[in-house]
Amino acid sequence: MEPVQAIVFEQLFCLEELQRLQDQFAAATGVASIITRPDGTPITRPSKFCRLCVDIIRKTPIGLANCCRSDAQIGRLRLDGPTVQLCESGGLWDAGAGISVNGQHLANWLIGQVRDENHTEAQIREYAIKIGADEAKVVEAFFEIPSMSLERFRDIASLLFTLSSQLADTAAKKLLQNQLLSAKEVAEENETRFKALHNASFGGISIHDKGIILDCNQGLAEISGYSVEELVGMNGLLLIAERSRELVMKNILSGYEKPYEAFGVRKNGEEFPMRLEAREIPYKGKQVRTVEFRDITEQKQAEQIIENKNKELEQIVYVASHDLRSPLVNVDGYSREMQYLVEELRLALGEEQADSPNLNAARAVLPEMTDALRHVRNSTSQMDALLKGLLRLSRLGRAALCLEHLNMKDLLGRVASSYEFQLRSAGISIEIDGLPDCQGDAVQVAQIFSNLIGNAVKFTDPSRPGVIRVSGMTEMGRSIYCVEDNGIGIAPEHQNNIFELFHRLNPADTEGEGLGLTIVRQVVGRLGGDIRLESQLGVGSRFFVALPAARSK
Amino acid sequence: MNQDVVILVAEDDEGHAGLIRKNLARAGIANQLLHFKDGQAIVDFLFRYGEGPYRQDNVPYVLLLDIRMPKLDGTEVLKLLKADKELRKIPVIMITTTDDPREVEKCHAIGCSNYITKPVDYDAFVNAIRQLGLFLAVVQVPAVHGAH
Repeated sequence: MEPVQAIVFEQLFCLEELQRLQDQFAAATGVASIITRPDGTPITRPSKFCRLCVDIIRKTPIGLANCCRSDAQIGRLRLDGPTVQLCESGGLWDAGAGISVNGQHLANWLIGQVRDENHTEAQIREYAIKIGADEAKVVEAFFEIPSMSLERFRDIASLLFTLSSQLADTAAKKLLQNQLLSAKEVAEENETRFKALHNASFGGISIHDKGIILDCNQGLAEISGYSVEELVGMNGLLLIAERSRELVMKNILSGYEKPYEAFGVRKNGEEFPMRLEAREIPYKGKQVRTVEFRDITEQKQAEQIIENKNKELEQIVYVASHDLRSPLVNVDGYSREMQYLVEELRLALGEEQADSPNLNAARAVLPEMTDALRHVRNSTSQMDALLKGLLRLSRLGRAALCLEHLNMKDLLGRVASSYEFQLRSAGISIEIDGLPDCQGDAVQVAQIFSNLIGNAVKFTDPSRPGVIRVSGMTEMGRSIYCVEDNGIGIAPEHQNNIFELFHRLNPADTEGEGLGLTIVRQVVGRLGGDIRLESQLGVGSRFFVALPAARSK
Repeated sequence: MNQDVVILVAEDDEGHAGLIRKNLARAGIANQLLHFKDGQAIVDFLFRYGEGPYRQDNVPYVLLLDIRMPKLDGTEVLKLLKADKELRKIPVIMITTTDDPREVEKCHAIGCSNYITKPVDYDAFVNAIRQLGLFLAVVQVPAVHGAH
C-alpha cells in the first residue's frame, strides 16, 4: 500500500467560488458564515459576521477563549447531520458541517450568530458583566443580531449540511479524476518509454509462449521482414531457418539462457546468421520466454574478411619464408664452395714467396676473399634464422588448438627441466610455486613459458646470482601467472615494443631472432589470454600471463 | 649402390642441383646423374611423353624430387608415379626447403621413400646429402620394366 497522500484543500476547491457560495448562503439565510480548517484557522473571509461577536466579545480575553472552545466543538465532524448548538460564549445559535474527502477531514463550514426568541436582554447583560465588556454596547449589538426560530435555524443547518456533503462529494470525484489522470499519464509515459526503448534496441525482441509470439518490437519486424501485426500470433519457429530449428527447439525446451548462434530466415526466404539470447520471464500471469534476436550478418562478414586476410598473411609469410630460403641455400652453398676453392688456391700458390709479383699479388688477396666469404655466410645464417622464425610464427597461427585442463605445476616442471643445463651452468636458481591450473593447449602454453624462462635465462645481470620465480593466482575466472627475474630489466621506453616482430634490445650481446615475445603474445592471444610486463632497468622484469582458468570439474 | 642406378634430380634451381651433384660426389656417389628442371620434364622422361629423352627399360632409377617447382610440383609428380604400377617401384626421395610437418606427412602418405630438407646452412646441407649418399649406397633399387 502506498502511503495516503495529504489532500490539499485549495487544490480541490476554487476559493473564489467558495467565497461567493458562502456569501450567497449567508445573504439568503441571514446567518453569519465562515469556512475554517479543522483547527479553526479561517480559509474564507467571514460573511455577515455580527459586531457583537467580532468587535465586542472576541475582544475580551474570556470571551475569545469561550468562542474558540465553542468553535472547535461545532467543528467536530459528524456524518449523519449538522451539529447545532448554543455557543458557549454569547449563547447564540451556531451550526457546523464538516467537509471530508476520502476520510480526511479538510474543513468545517460554520454558520450561526443567530438568537432565538428565548434569548433575553437580561441574559446577554449578565454575560457582558461576566466577560468584562461594556453592557450598553453589548445590548446594542445584541439587538442587531438576526433572530429566528430554532426550527428555522435547524432547517438552515440541514441545508448547510447537504451543501457541504455535496461539496465534499464533488471534491472526492475531482480528486479521483485527478488521480486517474495522473496514473494514466504515468502509465502512458511508461508505455511510451518502454516502446521507445523496445524499438530503439538494436535487435529484435519477442515474447513467446511455446513458440507463439505474444508481443514483439519493431526491431524484430525489421530483421524478419514481417510487420509487427503479422508477427504477433505467429509461430516464432518460422523465423528460424530449417537447419537451426532443432537446436532452437531444444534450447526452448531446456530453458537455455545463454547467447547462441543460429540461422534465421526472413519473410523473403533469405537466410541469415543471428545470435539468440532468451530468458524465462513472468508475463500476464504466466511464465513465458523473451528472446533477443540479433542479425550478425555484418559481424560474420567482417570475421570472414579478417579470417581471409589472416590466411592470406600467413600464406605470404609461409611462401616468403620458403621461397626466400631457396636462394639462400645457393648463396651459402656456393660461398662455401668458394671457400673450398680459396683453400685450394692457397695450396696451389704455396707458402713460399715466389719471384713473380703476380703470384704474390694473387696470394695477398686470399685473406680478403676469405674475409668476404665469411661475411656473406654470417649474413645468410642470420637471414636463415629470421626466415625460420617467420615460418615458426606462421605455423603457430595455423596450428589447431587442443584446449584442455592443464596441470600447470607439472607443465612448468617440464619446461624448467628443459632448461636445467643452462640454469645450472649459469648458476641461476628457479622457484616454482602455487600455480593454479588453467585451460589451454599444452604445447602452446609450454611454448609461452619456455620463451619467458628462456628470456630470463638470457638476460641475467652478471653482477648477481640469477633468480627466476614463477608464481600464480586466480582472479575473476582467469589464472594469472607471473614469471619474475632479477635480470637486467627493460627500460620504460622499450617496454612497449619488446613484443614487436624481430625487436631485439641487445642484438650484439645476445643470440636470437627477436621472435620469442612476439610468439608469446600471439600464443597468449590465441588462447584467449593476455600478457603484461612490469620491469625496472637494473632490477628485473615481471611478465604476467593471464589465461582462462580451468573449468571446475 | 649398384653403379647402374641412375640418379634423377628434379630440381628447378640449377644451383641446388649443382650443390647436390657436388656433394654426392664428395660423399662418394659416382652414379650417372640426370637433371630435370621442372615437374613436367621428369614426368615426360618417366612416362615417355613428348620429344624425349625417355627412361630406358630395365634400368634402376632413384628420384630426388623437389616440391616447389613450376608447371607440376613435386607432390603432383609423386602422385602420378605412385599411381603407376611399374613406376611406383622407383624410390623417391623428397629433397626440398619445405620442412612444414604437414608437407612431410603428405608426401609420406602418398608414398615417398624418404624426406630430406635442404638446410640453408651449408654444413647441414652437406651432412644431409652425405646421409642421402649413405642411403643410396645401401638401398636396393629395383629395375623398372616395360611399358606402363
